[in-house]
Amino acid sequence: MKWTANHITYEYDEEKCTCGLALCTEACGQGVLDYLEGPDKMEIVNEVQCIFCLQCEEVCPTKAITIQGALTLQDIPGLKS
Amino acid sequence: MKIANEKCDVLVIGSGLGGVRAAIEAKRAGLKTLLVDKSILARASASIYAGSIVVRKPPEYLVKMGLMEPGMDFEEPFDASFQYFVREGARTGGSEFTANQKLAMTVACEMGIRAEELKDFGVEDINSQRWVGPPGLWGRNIMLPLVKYIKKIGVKTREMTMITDLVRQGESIIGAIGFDIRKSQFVSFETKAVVLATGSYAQIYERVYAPIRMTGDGYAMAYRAGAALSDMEMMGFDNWGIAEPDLPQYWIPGSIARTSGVLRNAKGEAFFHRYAQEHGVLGEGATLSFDDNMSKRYGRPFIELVPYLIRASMKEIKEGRGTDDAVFLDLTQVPEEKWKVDSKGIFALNLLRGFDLKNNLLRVAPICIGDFKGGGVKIDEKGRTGLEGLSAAGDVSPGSSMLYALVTGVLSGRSAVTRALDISMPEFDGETRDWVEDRIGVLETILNRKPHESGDPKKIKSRVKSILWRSGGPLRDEDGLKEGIGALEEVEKEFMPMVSASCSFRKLREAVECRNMVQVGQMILPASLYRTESRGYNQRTDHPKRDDKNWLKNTIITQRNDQMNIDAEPVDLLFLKPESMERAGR
Ligand SMILES: Cc1cc2nc3c(=O)[nH]c(=O)nc-3n(C[C@H](O)[C@H](O)[C@H](O)COP(=O)(O)OP(=O)(O)OC[C@H]3O[C@@H](n4cnc5c(N)ncnc54)[C@H](O)[C@@H]3O)c2cc1C
Ligand code: SF4
Ligand code: SF4
Repeated sequence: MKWTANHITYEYDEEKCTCGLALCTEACGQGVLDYLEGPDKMEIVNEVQCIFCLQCEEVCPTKAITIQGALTLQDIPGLKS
Repeated sequence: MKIANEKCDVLVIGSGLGGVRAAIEAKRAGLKTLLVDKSILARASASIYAGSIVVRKPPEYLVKMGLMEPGMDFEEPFDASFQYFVREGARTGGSEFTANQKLAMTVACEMGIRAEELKDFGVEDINSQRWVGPPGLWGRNIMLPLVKYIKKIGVKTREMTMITDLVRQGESIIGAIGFDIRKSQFVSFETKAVVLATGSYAQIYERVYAPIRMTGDGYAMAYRAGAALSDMEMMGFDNWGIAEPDLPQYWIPGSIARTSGVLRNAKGEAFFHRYAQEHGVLGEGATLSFDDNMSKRYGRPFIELVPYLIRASMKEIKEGRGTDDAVFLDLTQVPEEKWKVDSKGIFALNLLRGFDLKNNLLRVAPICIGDFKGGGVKIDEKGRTGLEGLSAAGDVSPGSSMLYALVTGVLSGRSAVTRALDISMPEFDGETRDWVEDRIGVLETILNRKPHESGDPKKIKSRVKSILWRSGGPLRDEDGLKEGIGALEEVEKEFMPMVSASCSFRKLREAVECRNMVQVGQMILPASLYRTESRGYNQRTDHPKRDDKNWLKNTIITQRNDQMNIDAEPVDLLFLKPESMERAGR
């Protein structure tokens, strides 16, 4: 599944979603992601609340989530160290 | 029913900054330390969301870039910080002179050292770190190295384990009970000392920007165990929450661009201009010019304007001059150089998903960000709660901020160490064991109850959130508060007995959070009703004035004979009194 917001794309590859631990849903403070017991997979339930904090991508051990185009500190001019 | 058992010297509940710091203290004393979290370590905490640890002045480069004003800081050397803490209250508990001054003084004195010390734990020098960035990025720079560090020094951790109750025997806390979500197993913990560091209750509000697990579990657990809670009515709000249906309910962080904007109502009128003039908000030298930032425009430090901005916005909305429960923030005239960075730059704009601020007005409304609050489990200047074996750190206690969590983490950790070194392992007696079985029995019932529409934890949560927002939100009055209290009672009686976790431990967490939220709501609303004045974060439209004659007091909530009891205790104005502040030219 893929969705975009402005210049950002959020991609979720269900095939790769195999950790069975729902790490991404735990890391998401915004309630964007839910975990389906049974299939043991994550589900995107409320993308409007996504703030592109990248936490879900960071904790996913199987790289099932890819977020592209979200800002990092380095992208803000003048804020480079 | 099988109950797993864990034993440790010090049990720390919560892996935010407060809990992690307390765990370091306990481990360094050579104690068997166990840190549990109901989610994965640190990632679900407010500490990850936090914007900054402000120790000194805002970094110069941010001032230069116009992203911060030099006057936006407060945590200057300790005397200024202390004054700020007591005057505003929010950071170390209470609100406008109801802070515990011994605790505020301790935080002011220690915060510099504690922040500096973070370097020893592998955190990059916080003064060199940045203040802005995508949410979550900043707190990570502190929390992720700390998590690594506690593992390295041998703190035992247990993720995905929710604590539901503290175990009290006589006057002491000697354990806790909960369940392990991954193992689908109930657990009882036996310990010499507990540090409660479960974070805030921000999620009790409908309009909120804080992580979803901030459901106030610790307040409810401490209350049930017989601890005292102070100033539960003091919850801070900010005016700058996005209220666009297609955008996240996000709080726009402080920046010059933001405060250069103009608040407008549905008719396009710059209503705060009118409000400020009519309500005596204007300070000396107010320019009333839209070319100036709000602080210059209205002649007061921005932080002092916030409560008025909230009141004015809520008034517009309530009196029907808003739009979709919001007002408009007009940033169309903010000159390019005030943004300094391109329109994709400031991270708020990133989150706006390309919302065109140059040509559109943005809907905003007050929001709870859990950043400012003054209520919580009452602690003394050593982080002790008054119950033997129970100390508390961070947001679960009255204060709020990263520095407060850091200092109280150390204080509560030390108190736990003192006790753990002092006593031998307490044993659960027969009565306690029965009680534990009984509590777990209740959890099992919720777990196995047949799902029913009105017992869906998520739906009950939204109901509670809406009640609290309507009656215990930024503006309160007697009628609204009473209505809210009634509505919560209905939730407790009609819905909670149906609450079901559909045989899933993950949903059991949701159900227990629900129960805790109801209980916390049942503290906030009566406490607010009890405080018949407006002070800081308790704004009562029917008692609009601060009443220092009668209310230099903390509201104190305790459970007595299964009943909630509210009292008021005078504040000990040990170092600072309001009069002296006024004479000093406030
Ligand atoms: C949006 C936002 C912005 C902020 N910005 C700033 C800022 O710029 N500067 C600043 O100083 N402060 C800021 N704060 C405040 C600051 O984040 C908090 O005061 C601080 O992080 C509190 O730390 P804590 O350890 O008490 O709680 P938290 O960091 O919230 O940690 C609590 C932990 O306890 C766990 N837990 C809860 N209940 C249970 C249970 N029943 N069983 C087991 N575990 C449980 C949670 O999962 C969580 O991991 C901000 C807060 C928010 C929400
Ligand atoms: S962390 Fe990755 S693998 Fe695990 S549930 Fe989430 S997306 Fe799937
Ligand atoms: S980027 Fe952040 S807000 Fe968005 S889904 Fe991932 S964790 Fe949630």
